[in-house]
Amino acid sequence: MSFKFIDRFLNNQKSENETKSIKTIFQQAAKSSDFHQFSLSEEQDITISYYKSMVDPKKINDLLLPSIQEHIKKISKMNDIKKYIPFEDVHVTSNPLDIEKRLIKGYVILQFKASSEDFLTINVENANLGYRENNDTENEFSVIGPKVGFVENIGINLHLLRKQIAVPELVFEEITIGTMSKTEVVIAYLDGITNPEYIQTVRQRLKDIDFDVIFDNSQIDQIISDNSNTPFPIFLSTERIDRVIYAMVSGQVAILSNGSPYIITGPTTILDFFISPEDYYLNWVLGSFFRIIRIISVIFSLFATPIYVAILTFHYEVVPDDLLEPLISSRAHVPFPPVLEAIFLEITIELLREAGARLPTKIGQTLGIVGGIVIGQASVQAALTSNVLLIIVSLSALASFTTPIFKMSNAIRLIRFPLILFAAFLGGFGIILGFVLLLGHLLKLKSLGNPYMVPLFPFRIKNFRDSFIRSSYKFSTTRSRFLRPLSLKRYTPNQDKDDMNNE
Amino acid sequence: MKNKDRNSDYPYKLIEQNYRTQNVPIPTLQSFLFDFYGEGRDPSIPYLKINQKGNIEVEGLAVLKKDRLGLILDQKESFLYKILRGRVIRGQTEFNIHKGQSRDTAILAILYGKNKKSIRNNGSKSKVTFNITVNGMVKDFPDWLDLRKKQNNLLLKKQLEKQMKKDFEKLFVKFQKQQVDPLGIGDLARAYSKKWNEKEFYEKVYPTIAMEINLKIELSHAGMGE
Amino acid sequence: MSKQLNASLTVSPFFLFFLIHSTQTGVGLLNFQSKIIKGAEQDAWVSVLLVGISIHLIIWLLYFLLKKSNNGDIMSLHQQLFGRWLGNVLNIFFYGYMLLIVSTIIRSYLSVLVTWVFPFTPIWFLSLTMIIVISYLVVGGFRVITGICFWGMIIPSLLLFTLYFQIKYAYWTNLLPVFNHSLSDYIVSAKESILMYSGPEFLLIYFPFIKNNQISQKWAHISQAYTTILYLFITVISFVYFSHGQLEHVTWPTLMMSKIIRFPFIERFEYIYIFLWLLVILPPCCMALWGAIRVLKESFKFKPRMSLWISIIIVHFMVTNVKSKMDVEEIGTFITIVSSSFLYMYIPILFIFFLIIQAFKKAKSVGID
Repeated sequence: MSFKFIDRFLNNQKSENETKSIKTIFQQAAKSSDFHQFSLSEEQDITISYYKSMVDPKKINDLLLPSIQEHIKKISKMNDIKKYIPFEDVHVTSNPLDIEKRLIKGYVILQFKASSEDFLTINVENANLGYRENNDTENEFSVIGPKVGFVENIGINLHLLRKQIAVPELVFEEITIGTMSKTEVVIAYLDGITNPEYIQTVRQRLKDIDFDVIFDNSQIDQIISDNSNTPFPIFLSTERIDRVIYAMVSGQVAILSNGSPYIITGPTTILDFFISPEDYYLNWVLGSFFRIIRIISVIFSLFATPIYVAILTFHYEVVPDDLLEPLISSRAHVPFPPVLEAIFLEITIELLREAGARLPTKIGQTLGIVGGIVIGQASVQAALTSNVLLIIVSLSALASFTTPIFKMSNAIRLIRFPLILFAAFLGGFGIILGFVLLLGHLLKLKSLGNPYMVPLFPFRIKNFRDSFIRSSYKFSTTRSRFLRPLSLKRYTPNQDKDDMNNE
Repeated sequence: MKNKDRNSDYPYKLIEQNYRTQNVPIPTLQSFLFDFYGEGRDPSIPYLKINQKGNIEVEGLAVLKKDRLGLILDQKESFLYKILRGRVIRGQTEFNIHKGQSRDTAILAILYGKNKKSIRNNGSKSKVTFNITVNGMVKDFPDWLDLRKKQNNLLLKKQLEKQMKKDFEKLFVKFQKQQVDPLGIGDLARAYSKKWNEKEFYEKVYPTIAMEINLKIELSHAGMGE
Repeated sequence: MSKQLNASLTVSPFFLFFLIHSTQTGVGLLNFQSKIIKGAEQDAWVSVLLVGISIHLIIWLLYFLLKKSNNGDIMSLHQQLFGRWLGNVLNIFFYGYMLLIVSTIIRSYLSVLVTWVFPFTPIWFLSLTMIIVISYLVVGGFRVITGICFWGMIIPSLLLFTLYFQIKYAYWTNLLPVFNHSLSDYIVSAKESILMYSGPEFLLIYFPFIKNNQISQKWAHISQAYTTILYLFITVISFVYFSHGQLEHVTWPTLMMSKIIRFPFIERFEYIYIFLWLLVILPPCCMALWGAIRVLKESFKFKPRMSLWISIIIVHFMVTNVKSKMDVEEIGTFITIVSSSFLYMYIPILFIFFLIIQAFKKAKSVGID
């Protein structure tokens, strides 16, 4: 059947260039076994071609073919077909490049009469094929709140977004990135709220990308980030819908890409990474409490082990006698200097974490027990480490996992190591030097040109109502000023005050 | 427990315990240096002793004159000194009571109090005034004194005030005689005079300075036994 | 006549508060008490207050000069007043002053560090690590330095809460009798307290980096007032905590004061003071080094990277060559003289010179008419 078709093209000398390229397109396609091409009816001369792997066969068999066959007598020109078939995304085109692109995307190409230059492209794409239908937010879990997360299919993701923000101001801009993957990337923002500067920056940076295959949104994250030489995530990437919605409502830009369940938002600030959506679902007292716990745990996680190393290497006189005694007796038989002891344990914890992440869930749990209890206990008994350090290291590991965003918690875990080395070389002075370097680094960082440290620096006292603490909804009525949104007001709360006499 | 069984920080804890509840006045290095280098004051440090059982105990207080030992105060004097010095007013001591024919001793424990010093500079007629109010309780009092009765309470208070006043004055004279000034009278004089010379003050004024004490004792929880 | 750089480089005038205050505080805060007590004794706080007030006047003069200069900094002002050649010579002196500030601060801090914490670590090693950290911050540019000034004030300010411990042991009669000293005594104390107020002179360099700098003067004065109050507070606390004789025997009263602080988990709180003090000394160090580089850039068009290398080599050389404690004292005395004569003599002279030139120009233009 296909030979006949090609022969027809070979004989056709009418428009050399175009036909030749369309011909080569079909020739190229015919090499794949999933490419189908056949004539529907000899008398009307309708040829249909498509990739079987990309289309929805149900749509072709139940809708497309019957509807054409039913009206086949009445069809005399291209537009007649358009009239009779029950599809929306139907276009007439003669551009071979368009045809190629659509063919690959899962369109049916319909040719009416061999002589015709025009082709009809009908969208029968099976977009959900190969994708999960839904996604639990298992990596960013929260007890309260919706459990539906984003999936790999960008169409569903856009649908999820639009369902939550039901206003026409929600704008999706599509860009295709990746010379081979042709990934659809969508910039989502709220028109009239998000600062156009950020949108323009994102648009420009995305357009400048030259890359072959985009596997995941995280690659886009890295490519468009302001500073790639940093362990800190410049953009927030999340699989939670509420997080993205909140970011967009605050005036941030979201970037979605097809095939990635993670959506990145920016510009972000360092405190965004310690916020969990749950803070907003609990009442503000509890929300603030958990948020403060989280921030303290980050500080603890960063400095606990270095302080241990510094004290035992240099400044044991700083610790009171009563506290020093258990410290010393617990490492009385440890033959290594504190720094080796600490690094040994920290690396053990890192190994456990990495192995746990690579293994299937069920084995991972066993590993936790083996690692935590057996190795920990054994290494203390074998006098490789001291009890106190074991407690400190595992506590700080625990503390680092409280950070809701995976990328940030990784950054914090990494930064511990240089701090431990600093502490080993120069004690407390080293720790403070390390802290200053960290501070300097953070001060240099920018996200989409916005300082990373706001509202801590530049100092914005008004934005503290939703940073370290999550204040009551009565007070967080405005958007953060440092995101420079076009409109500041979010909502007007009910002015009902608690009446003292109203029992 | 013998000393050798004890930690090296035992004396430290002993002194701290005595400072918090007993008769040792503030024993920090800072307060020692403050008095040592300060003009118009002499330092004092706790006086420890190894007793017959071989244990360390606080014997009293050593008052230094420049960098030499000037005077050793016993427990009771140390208690009085702690009150005169002010700030942390605490400690306990034994005292005599009598009513009619009965005589006995009881223990006064001071819980907290106030001490305001003032001075009138007038050459050899200078005078220091201590306005002291202390809150305390009486422990281990004899059976014949029923402290639930108000007049007994009053009697006790009066006797106490009288005795303590006398003791204070005795202690002050002792300081004057020994030419030591752990109370910082010189410093007080310096603060309230335009021109002040340390040597001149201790040669001429200090031995003749008069002392007045306005003591008020408030007895709380009186009558409660343990 | 653009006196302000483009918006992306500038910081808002509100940050002048932190910029000025942070560059004023330094190592001097650790030991000024035992120096100022030499003259007016318990009345020395009056000198601290008076010097603080006089700095307001200096800030006013600085603003006057900066508003009238071409580029809003001292480099252009020098060239404007003294011509290109002589102006550049003066700029080199200013560069030297900046480096002297960095070296003195680093060396004084290291002498604290070596005495208390690292008696066996060689000076050159400590100096090198500090210079590397400072350089890293300076490379980040003015915004990062402003950030360091901000954090260099906020974090050490937490230490102010620990002054509660000292107040518990205060002898308030130490401050009595008041005002029983002669004017010359006050002047002796005042001289010693000038150094810890030095810092507003950096305004001569970073002025173009302040947004709306023409109307930013308010923040400079607020900052200076805060510094004065803070110093006065610390002075009074030290005076009531130490007896007079004791203060003369203590090298670093602020650190000795912190020894009384006791927590169940920290025995020697002065270590926290020493380490956090790095945050106090970093702002003036960074600012002076950055200023030095900027002087070279503006007056000789040197590349910043090259002048950074040159400057840190000079600083390291100066720091390591101050060997004994006596030398540290000496360099401290030297910078006190340089700094006070810069603030109290050079700036007024510049001001008068400027007025004369302006009057001369006016007369000339009137004459032409």
